[in-house]
Amino acid sequence: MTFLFALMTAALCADPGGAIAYVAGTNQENQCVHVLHVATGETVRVGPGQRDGAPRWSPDGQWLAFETVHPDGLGICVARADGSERHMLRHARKWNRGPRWSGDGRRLVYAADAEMGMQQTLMVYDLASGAETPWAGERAGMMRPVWLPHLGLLLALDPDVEVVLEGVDFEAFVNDALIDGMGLAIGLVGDPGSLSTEAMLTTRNMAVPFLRMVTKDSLRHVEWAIEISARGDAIAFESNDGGFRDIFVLSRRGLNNVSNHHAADWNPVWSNDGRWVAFESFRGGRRGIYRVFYETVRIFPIAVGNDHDCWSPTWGPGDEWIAFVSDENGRPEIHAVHVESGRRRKLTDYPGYCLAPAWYAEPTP
Amino acid sequence: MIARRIRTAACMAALGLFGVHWALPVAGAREADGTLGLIQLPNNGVPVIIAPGAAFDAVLTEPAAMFLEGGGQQYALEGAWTPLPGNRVKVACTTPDTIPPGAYTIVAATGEKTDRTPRSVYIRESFPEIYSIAHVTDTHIGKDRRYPRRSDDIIRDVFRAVNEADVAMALITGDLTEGGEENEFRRFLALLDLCATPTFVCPGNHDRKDNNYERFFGPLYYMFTFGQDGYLVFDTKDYVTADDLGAQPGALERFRRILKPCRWTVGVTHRYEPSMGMRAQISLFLDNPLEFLVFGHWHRENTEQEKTTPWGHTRMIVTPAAIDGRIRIIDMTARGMLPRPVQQVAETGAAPQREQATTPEDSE
Repeated sequence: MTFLFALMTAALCADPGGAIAYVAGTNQENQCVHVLHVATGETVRVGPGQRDGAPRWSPDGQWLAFETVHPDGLGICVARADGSERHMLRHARKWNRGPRWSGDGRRLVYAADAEMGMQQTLMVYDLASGAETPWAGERAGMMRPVWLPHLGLLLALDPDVEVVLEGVDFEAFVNDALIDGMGLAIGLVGDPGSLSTEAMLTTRNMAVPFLRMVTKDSLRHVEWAIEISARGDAIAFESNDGGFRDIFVLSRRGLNNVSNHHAADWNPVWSNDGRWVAFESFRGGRRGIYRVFYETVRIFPIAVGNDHDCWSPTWGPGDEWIAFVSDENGRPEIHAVHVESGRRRKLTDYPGYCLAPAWYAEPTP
Repeated sequence: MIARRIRTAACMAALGLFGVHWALPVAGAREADGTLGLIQLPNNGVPVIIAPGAAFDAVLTEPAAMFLEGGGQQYALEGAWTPLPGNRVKVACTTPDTIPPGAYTIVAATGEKTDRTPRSVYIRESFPEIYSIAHVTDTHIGKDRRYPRRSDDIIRDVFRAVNEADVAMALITGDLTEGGEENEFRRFLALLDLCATPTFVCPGNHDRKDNNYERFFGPLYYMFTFGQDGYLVFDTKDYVTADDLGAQPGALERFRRILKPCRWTVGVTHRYEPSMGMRAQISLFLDNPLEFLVFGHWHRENTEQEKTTPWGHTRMIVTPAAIDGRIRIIDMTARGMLPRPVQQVAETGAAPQREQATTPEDSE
C-alpha cells in the first residue's frame, strides 16, 4: 500500500524536464539570454549579453528570438538554443522590441520605432528572405504584437460588424487576413493627455479594434498583455474594465472577467492545453501567481509569499509544472512549482538575477 | 543563523550589555569605503520622518542593539526583529514619546562592530498641511570640466541654499554623480551631510555603474509619507530594456495601493519617457494615477505643453540641473503642488561650455 502510494506520488510529481530560456545578469548592461536544461541543470549561454531581453521560443524549439543591443538602439537577435549560432536581423528602424514567432516559425513580428517614443509600428520579418515589412498598415502606437495560429477567430466575428466599426472595410480585412495571416496587438488610442490602449486585430494593411464588437465601451478601458491560446480559440487579456485591473477571456462563451478582484491581476499566460490561465495577482498582498480554469472561473494559488514577490509564470511541458521568478532569497531567481502537489524546486543559483523564464513546450497539433 | 543572532541581540539588550553607549567602539558611519554597512535603512539618502513615540522600520545585515543619537543624548530603541529575504533583518523601532524634535543619527551595535548613519531619522512634532519641498536634481558630482568651478563647490552652494530655504525635505532626483564611480558617491555623501533637512535620493542614468548606487544608498525604489501626503520614489535608469521584467513594477503597484488614501501622492524619479516600462505606467498613470510626478534629467524646465503625462492628468514638475546652479522650491498645499519659479542659487563661474539641452532627447 505504502509502495503504491509512493509510486502514485512519484508519478504525479515527476521531476520537471524540458528547457527554460531566461535572462541572467548582474546589471542591465550584461544581461544575457541563457537556456537551462531542467533535468540535468546544464546551462548554455545563448545571447550576446548586451542588454538581452525576454527570449521567445520558435515553434520547433530550435531557436530563440529576443531583443538586444543594436547600433544606436535595440535589434532582434535570433539564436540557436544550443548557443551555436546567432544572427541579428537587419532593421530599418533603431528600436525594435518584443519579438513573437508566427505559428510556422518563418516570420517574426515586433514593434519598431525610429525614436524611443510612442509612435512604434509593427514590423514583420521573413526569416528566409530577410525582408522586413511594415504590418498593420503602419499604424503608429502599436505594442506587444502576437500572431494568431489560424483564422478561426474570424468565424466568430459578427457579420454585421461594419455597423459597429465605423470606417472599417471588413471584407478587405478578411481578404488581407487570408493572404498574410492575422495577429493581435495593443494599440494606443486617444490624444496626449487622454491616451488609452485598445486590443487590436492586425493584418498586413489594417488594425481593427475588435473589442468594440463585443463590448461597446471598450474605449474607456485600458487593455494590455493580450495572449491567444495555443489552439487559437480563446483570447486572454487584462483590462481595468470594472474599475480594477482584471483578467478577461474572450472565447465561444463570450467575454468574461475570470479573475475579478479589487487587487490588480495581470500578465495572463495560457497553459499549453488552453484550459488554464496563469496570472499574477496582488490579492494576497504581495505579487503572487495564481491559475484559473477559465470555463468555471475557479482560481487556485500557485506561488504566493508573505514577504516576497513571485512573477513571470511559464507553463512546463504537459502543464504539470509552472516556472516563475521569485525574490524569496533576496534576489530574483527562477523556481518551479508542481501545479497539483505544490512541490517547489529552485532552478537557478546565479550570483546576479534571473528573469523572464520561457519554458519550451511542444506546439499544439 | 539569523534567528540565533536575533536571540543573541535580544539577550544582550535585555542584559544591558549596551548600556554604556558612549563607551562603545565607534567604527564611523557606514563602511570605511562609504558604502552601507550594518545599517542598510534608514540612511541619509533614505531617511524616516516621524513624530515622537512613532515607530519606523530599520533594515540591518544582522540583529544589533539600536539607538538614536542627537542633541548630545542617546535613546535606546526596542522592537521585534524579523528575518528578511537576502540575509537581512528588519526591526520595527519605537521611538520614545519624550524624544525632542530634530535630526538623529541611527546607531547599531553588535558585539563586534558599531555602525552609525547620521541624518537618518528626523523627529517632528507636527506635520503641517502646507509645507515646502526643495527639488534638487542632476548634481553630477565629478563633472568638473563643464564649468570653472568644481562640481563639489557648486553643489555645496546649492545645499547651502536648501538649508536657507524653509523646507520640510529635499528631493534629490538622480544623476547624483557624473560617472557612478565610488569616489564620486563618496564626494556626494560628504556634501549631502551638509544638508540640515531630510534628503531623499533616487538613482539616475549617470549613476549606473556596477551596483554602486545600491551599495551607497540601498533600494532603487521605496515609499514614504509626510503627514497626509505620500511619496513614491522609483528608478527609471533601466528604462531602455527589460523594464517590465524585474521586481520594480510589482513593488510600484503595491506601494501605489498603500498610498492610495493619501491626500496627494507624488512620484519622484530621475526621468520620465513615454516609452518607459508600460507596466509601471499602467500602475502609476492609468489605473491609480499619481497626482504629481517630480523629476529632472532634461536639464531644463518643462514647458506649457509638457504639463501632464500623456496618459492622463498626472502633473509633471521638471527642474533644471543643480550642476548648473539651479533648484526649485515646491509648495505643497491643499490645492496640490505649486512649483515656484526656478532659482539660480549657485554661481558656476562661467557660461556653459556648450548649448543647454532643449529637448528630452538632448538631455543627460
